[in-house]
Amino acid sequence: MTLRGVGVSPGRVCAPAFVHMPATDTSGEGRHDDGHADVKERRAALATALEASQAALEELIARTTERLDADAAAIFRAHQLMLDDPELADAIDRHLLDGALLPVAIERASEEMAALLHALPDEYLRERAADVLDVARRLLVRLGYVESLQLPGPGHPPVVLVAHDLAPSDTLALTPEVITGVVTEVGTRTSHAAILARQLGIPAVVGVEGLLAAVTDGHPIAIDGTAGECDPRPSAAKADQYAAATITVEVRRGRARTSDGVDVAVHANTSTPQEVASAVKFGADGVGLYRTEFLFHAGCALDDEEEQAEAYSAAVAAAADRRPMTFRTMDIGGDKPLAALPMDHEVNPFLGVRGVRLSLRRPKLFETQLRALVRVASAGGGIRVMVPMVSGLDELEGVKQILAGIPDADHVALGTMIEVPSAAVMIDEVLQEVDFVSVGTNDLTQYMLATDRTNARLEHLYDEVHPGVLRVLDAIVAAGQRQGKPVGLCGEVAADLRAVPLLVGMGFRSLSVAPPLVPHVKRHLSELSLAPAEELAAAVRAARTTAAVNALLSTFAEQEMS
Amino acid sequence: MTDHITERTEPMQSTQDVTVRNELGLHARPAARFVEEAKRFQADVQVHAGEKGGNAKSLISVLSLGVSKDTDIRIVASGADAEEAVAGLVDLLRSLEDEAPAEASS
Repeated sequence: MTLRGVGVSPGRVCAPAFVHMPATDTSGEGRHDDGHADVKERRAALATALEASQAALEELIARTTERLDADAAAIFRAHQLMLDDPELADAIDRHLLDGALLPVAIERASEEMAALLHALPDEYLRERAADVLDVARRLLVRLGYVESLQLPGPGHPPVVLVAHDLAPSDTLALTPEVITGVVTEVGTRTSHAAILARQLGIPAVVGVEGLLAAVTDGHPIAIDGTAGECDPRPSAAKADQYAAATITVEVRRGRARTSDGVDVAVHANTSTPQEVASAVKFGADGVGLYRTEFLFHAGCALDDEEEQAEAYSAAVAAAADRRPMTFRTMDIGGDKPLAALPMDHEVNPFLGVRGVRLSLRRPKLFETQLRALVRVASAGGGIRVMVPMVSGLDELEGVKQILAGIPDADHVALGTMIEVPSAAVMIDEVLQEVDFVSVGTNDLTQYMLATDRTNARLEHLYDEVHPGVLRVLDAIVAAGQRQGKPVGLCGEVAADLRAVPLLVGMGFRSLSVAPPLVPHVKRHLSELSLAPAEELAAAVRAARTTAAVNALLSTFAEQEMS
Repeated sequence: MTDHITERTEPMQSTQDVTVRNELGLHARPAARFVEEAKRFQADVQVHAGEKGGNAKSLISVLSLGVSKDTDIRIVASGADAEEAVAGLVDLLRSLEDEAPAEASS
């Protein structure tokens, strides 16, 4: 029996299912005897639990800022304030004085507070009711009244994690040695679970309807993150075949070479020096995208050139052996705001002040960042600097003017992301002004198709291999070849192993993916030859629909495997 | 922020009416910052918006007021540092308002 979903992280695996159920109510013992004699004891137990929960959240925030984005960290900061909320505390105390047992008091009080928010007309505020309940759940877990949602940690035999959905805090707790795959009932390519699974390099399928009803906890489940399928009752043969696929792919150093001798560089997308080190470990040829905004989310001052230069040097040092590094200047915007840089609310942040638009509105801060990068380059870093969200030559001109005021600015190679359709259409002119470009297929696709990539209801429309998007990619590669300038690609499509032959056939010779995917992409490339890849690209060029392109890619992948 | 009238009802109490001008109102991060500011003071601080009122030190209460941009609110503090508390919160609202347009200053 095969259930279909959306493959969001490639690879096949078969392991016992670990079904992750959301916490239920405080049934059982706690309702009749909470282990405390009187209100005084209950208050003391509550105070201890509050303190421990605060400390745990503090740690989670520190880890989140490092590993995910500031938005996720902001959610947990709000949780901290809620744990410490005097009205919630009063309500709990009121119930305790009324004679309620501790878990009942916490439950009732949090439900009352959540109801206040749930009654509001504003959708954002209504959703905060869930946060109040999540905070109460943390307390109940801490007090031992609700079974803890511990995921299997180090030492546990390998499992495939099965869940309705994963919360940000759940995904952070995943241990890749133990969680060999993830499958969820809901979710999209851009949900937390999907992004993290790709970062960890474990196969994942999301949006599998009827999953929990079909899965038995502890029974082997086979998942195929490339095809977007899972099988909760695999045959013995299939289970063996998928389990064998679990074996880690060998890490290859040096450029991947197709069987007929075409070199393709496989770089990594990273955000921290630790990730750069991990990329090196996975055999990346360099860093194709270093997201500098993570530094600021982690608290580095936007106006501190010294601190930034140190941080960039640390990343360069982590890259070891002078692997090429491409730093993307701060990509901050309404959808991923920075606490230190508050912004007006925007109705449509994806079309708002972000990337280079923000940088040019805050030229002093932008100059500080560029100066720090130039310093690293001058000290022998040999780095490339790439500007996000450029829509055309006017913005490039603005960037160049600022660079012109910085001594030794010619030590850095300047490039742009190609993610705004107008820049893609004007690729010839853009290339004349820069040293290189890198195509950000995630945003380019979203903007070309006018499809919010975080909207699950539009999942069927958002596809990087839409013929219109591919036609533009073709034009970009051709322009790069004409002008002899490097064209890289750093979007999620490069992580789709089905799409790799197509990209190579189109002429891409530099791909950048999440660090753990580097060995997968390299192995795939080494098994590929250019001629069939070019034939695939030619066939895809003639395809008129996204479905037709996907059919060609799947057929090609099956032929390759056989 | 206009129309603010400071009145002293009793020695330990301070009240001020202000209009919330920043884009997000008291949602999300601005609400969290407002609550964090209120907590710096000993005084009991209440916020009123329309018919609703709540504890300024409670994020849940502040969020439940549903204060959006251009809402008139009244801040009432009582306690030893009541005046400082009101002044601090009014300053914070003003800075929230200033920070956002700093964006548009160039």
